[in-house]
Amino acid sequence: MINCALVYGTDSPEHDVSVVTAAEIMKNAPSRGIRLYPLYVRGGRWFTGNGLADVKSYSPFDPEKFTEVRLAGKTLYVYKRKKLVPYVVMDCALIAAHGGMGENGALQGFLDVNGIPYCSSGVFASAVGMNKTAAKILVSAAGVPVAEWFVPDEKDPEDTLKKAENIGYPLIFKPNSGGSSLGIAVSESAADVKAAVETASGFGCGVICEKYIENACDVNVAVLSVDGKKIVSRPERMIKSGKILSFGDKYAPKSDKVSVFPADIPPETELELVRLALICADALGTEGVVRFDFLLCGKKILFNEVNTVPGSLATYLFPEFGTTDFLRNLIEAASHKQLCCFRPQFDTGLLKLKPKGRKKRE
Amino acid sequence: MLSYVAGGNSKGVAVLFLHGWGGDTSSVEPLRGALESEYMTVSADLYGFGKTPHPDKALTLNDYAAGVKELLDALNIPRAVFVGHSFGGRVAIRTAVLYPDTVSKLVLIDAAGLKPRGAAFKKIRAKIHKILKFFNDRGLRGSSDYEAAEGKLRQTFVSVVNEYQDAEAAALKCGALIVWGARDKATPPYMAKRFRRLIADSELHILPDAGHFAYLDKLPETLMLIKAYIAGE
Repeated sequence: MINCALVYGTDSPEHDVSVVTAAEIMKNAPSRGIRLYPLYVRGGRWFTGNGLADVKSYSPFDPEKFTEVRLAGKTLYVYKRKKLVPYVVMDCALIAAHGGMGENGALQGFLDVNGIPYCSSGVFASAVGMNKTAAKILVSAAGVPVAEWFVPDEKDPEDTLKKAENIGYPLIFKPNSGGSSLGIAVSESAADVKAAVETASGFGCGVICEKYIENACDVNVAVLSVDGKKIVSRPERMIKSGKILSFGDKYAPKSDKVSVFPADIPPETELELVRLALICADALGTEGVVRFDFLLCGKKILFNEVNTVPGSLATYLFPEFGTTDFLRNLIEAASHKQLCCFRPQFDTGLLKLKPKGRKKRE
Repeated sequence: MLSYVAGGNSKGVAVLFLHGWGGDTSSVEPLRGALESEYMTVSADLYGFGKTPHPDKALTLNDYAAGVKELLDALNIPRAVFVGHSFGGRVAIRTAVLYPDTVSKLVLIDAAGLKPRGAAFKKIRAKIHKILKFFNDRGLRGSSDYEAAEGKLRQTFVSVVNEYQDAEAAALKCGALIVWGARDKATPPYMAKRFRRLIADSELHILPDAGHFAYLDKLPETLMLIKAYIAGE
């Protein structure tokens, strides 16, 4: 029996998306040989309980109705009469927290320190994936084309305008580490640059400015890396209602269809997408399931961003597996994973030396 | 034979769903459909409901249990996890008693079968009913299920609801997961607690803000509980 923690929530702008993903995972959770424990993180407190499977429990969330728990080492402790009692030992974790601490490597680091393997990318890939600038630098160094970009200096509007002129309008301003299209603004001319920078900087993580590609469509590809093997999904083409793909387009669409899957693009473009996605995955060292978002403009493919914890864990992009089996694969792979934590394997003798024997560094 | 809906992983554990009085396979479809990805799932229309006709004689619980057993034999399923809601719970318990090898685990959701509180009062009420019926050929009104049932099905109803299964529950060896709605009016939560006391190796979960159809009111929670129970050693 594999005990798997489903960690989600966290204080991030994408909290609600995370709840929806987690509820979907719980509904389709595999149960043969796997026991899933939902762990909902909110304001630094961790909760569990079967009621968490119901989306209605979150608006408003009543902490009294759920069991407060703590994760320490591999053991999950439950609060009983204000005392912590060991409850269950976790074998692995499935992360379904989008944005913020859940996706930027913080939660991944916490699990690493506790010695719990998890089903998604490690600290480095998560941290880089969350930071649009860092991801663009790494990915373009590996030979994947990206749109022209620069980082506007919020304190120096003159300089921003100059750089903007160099690239040419229209431009798109994004928070450097946001997700789900929150805080994105398009600027048509020098007049609205200031407002766009302000909108994007509202998330307090810096701003990145890119050339806005006219008539481009958003195409997403998921890459599943399990046991050293990589599987690339077929691409999906997002349907956008306005100039950019908005939060509403993704989660509360006006039409029934959010995307076209498999995308209606020529086979050679699809092959190229697969090639680029694999390069990106290697460059970032992603694990588990990640989704790469590309911009497609005619035959030109540009890397846009990476999601190390994609919405719904991108299960819908792998229909051939079926959600339950897909999750089962992820969880089983994670539970076999050996954590590459450092263990002193040879005796340096340093600790046995008496203080006077230690050489002082000049 | 009972009409049924089946689907899922033919190599997985078999799970059989039994609907409540007045329901049919579609009433338990939300549960069956969600478990289809991992288990071999079957849900049956019990005699007199859905697509299964009621035979031309009054039935007893034993007949229902025999019908279920016949269906499982026909589908070549030797053992299954039984999930029974309300009246389906009665049938599941009776099947577990008559054919203990068939039921590997038992899930009771707002199940009927226990002797209700105030049974003495009901006996007096039945006497009054008989006396009234002698005079005006109508008597007192029965429960909504009784009024809705017609012909032989009504006779079946009378025979079924007058069987109390307290002793049978105490004799069960398969254990049980008991899921109940805290606001259940038809089979109030005191019955859940009595089931918990009677059935050896049973666990009880009372879901807040849920009624007699607790599994529909709290579908994700019920699914979590059932999955954990079926998978558990």
